[in-house]
Amino acid sequence: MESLIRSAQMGDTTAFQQLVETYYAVAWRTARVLQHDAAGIDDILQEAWLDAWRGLPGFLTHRPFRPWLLTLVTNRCRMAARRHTLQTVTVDTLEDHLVTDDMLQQVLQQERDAQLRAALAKLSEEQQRVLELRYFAELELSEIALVTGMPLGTVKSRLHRALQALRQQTETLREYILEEKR
Amino acid sequence: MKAYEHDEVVLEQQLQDHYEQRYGQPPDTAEFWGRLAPQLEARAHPARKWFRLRKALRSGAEAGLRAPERSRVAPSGRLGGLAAFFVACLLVGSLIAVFHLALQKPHTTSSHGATGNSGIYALTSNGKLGSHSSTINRIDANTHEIVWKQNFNDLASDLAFGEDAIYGVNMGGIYALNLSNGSYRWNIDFASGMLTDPTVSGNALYVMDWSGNIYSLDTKTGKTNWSCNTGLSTVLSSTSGAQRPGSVSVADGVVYNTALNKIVAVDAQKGTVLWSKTVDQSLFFNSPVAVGDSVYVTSHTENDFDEGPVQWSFVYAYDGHTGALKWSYRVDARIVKSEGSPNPVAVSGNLVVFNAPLQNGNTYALDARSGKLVWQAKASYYSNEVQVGDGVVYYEEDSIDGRFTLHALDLASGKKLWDRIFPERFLPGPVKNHLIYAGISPNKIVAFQTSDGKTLWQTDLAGVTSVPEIWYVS
Repeated sequence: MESLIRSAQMGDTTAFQQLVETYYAVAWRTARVLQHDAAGIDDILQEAWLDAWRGLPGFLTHRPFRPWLLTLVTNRCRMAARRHTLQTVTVDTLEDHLVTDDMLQQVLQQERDAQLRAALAKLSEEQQRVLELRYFAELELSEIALVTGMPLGTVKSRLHRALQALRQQTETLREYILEEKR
Repeated sequence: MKAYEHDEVVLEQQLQDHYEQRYGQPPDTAEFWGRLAPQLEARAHPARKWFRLRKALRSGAEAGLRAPERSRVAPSGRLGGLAAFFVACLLVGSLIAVFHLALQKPHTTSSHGATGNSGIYALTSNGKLGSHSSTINRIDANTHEIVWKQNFNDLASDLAFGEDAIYGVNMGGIYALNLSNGSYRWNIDFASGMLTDPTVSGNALYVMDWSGNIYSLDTKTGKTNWSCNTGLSTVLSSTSGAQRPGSVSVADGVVYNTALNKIVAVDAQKGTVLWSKTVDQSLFFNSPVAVGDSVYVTSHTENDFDEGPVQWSFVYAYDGHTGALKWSYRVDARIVKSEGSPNPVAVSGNLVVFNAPLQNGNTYALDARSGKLVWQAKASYYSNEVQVGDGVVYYEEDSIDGRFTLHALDLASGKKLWDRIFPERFLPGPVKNHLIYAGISPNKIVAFQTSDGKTLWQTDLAGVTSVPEIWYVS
């Protein structure tokens, strides 16, 4: 990786292409969570990668590349945010979800997914954002602090609290279904 | 057999599946590269540009690359220039120029005149999370009414307050607003791109760019006093890059900043490097805190994991003028500056206070002269950084039960003074006149007594939907 970065620093576009291919997914996922406007993601990432191209000569090659890139992506998302409103996400219908041979399992699966969506909808936006960055973008806690601007302790507590709330919600559903079956 | 396995792994897998369905998968990288590559080709070779920039910064000869380069918005009292700008826009008839002006000249409202500049200043964000449109509200400290408010676009830093102006950084530039009425004083483009949070000391404003160049600007005009290539690279001056470059600290005629494992001191008048020090390469500095003729700084182990098994930190005290190490103190925990939070040490009187948010979260107080431990207090894993004022150490804890607690400790002894629990999100602010000012969700400003934590007064900011971040200007 270090040699790739060093080559890219010298203007080697092939090396830079390899960096793009390596980190495109995490950059896209992070931008997707932060921006929510799918139509603008490509432009944001283009700008962020151009920022990286411009900034690479000043980059120290023995340092990790990924957090630096995430910083660039976050900054571009912030700049774009004022031009967009958050996308309203339609709650999927139950029919969109998994179908299994076992009808009972199918119903339970649908109920579980619906309950998860309902439980997520009850979380604050900040909690939802932390969950998305953790489980969709797959960022480290410190990286979540980086891209959200939250203190690290706050990120940790948001995550714990959100997971706790989700467990409680889904447990309530399980008890309800078991009761219905009796 | 249980219908559901609600352990953590199952829940996490459910979440991953849910988000995959909701957001989908990243598009094809090859297509993305196909659109990106021509843009790279169209731009100057980055290395050449970089060397050109460095040369320009050293010589100061290449004005087009030297930052800051020009003032965009007329300062107060220069209405002629502003009018000329408007006229030029009209003459040209450029819709683009008018649109640009609309973006750069936000709306200002003023309910009534202000006397002096002292008061409470509250920064609120507009719209949803992730929005980068913010509003600064000036609040009368006595009536608690909004005196004026002003919008920021793309504010990308903490604010800094001078004698009569507020300063903020956006992507590639710095704003200055008049404290008296919130009008724009000046707006400077920076060719060198992203900047640290600004710091004000006397009549100078200091920022550092991500290439380690510190700039001193005249607070009145925004013109450059000097720039200094410190040799610092702040691009990744953090653990796992989890921190952005920290702001400079200034005291006793010396400007300090850190990056990676290096600290640099610069003469505040001349802009020349006085000294620099490095520590072990496995350690990384947080932002410095300068007080009098000393500078205090913490370092921590770098670790790509959030909670690595072996982590330690040091607190150092250096002589500000010579760089001589006065003392260092080791903590077997990781002191990390969280994004958007204050510096990890607070210095008050003869004590240096900090906590270790990763691992044990404990709060420590060291003797500023000797570096000896004075007291240590148990804190929570979820604690955020400490602040100190009026003989009180306080920090906020976001507990997992959904509550927000403000903890107050006695500065001298570390003993608990009081706790206040809030059901809403809470942002602690400055301590002034025996009061702790804080923002509380959704739009409240609250003043607590430092003696017992009781609320002295609170006020709602009408039309605001974000937790205010508070400053107090004396």
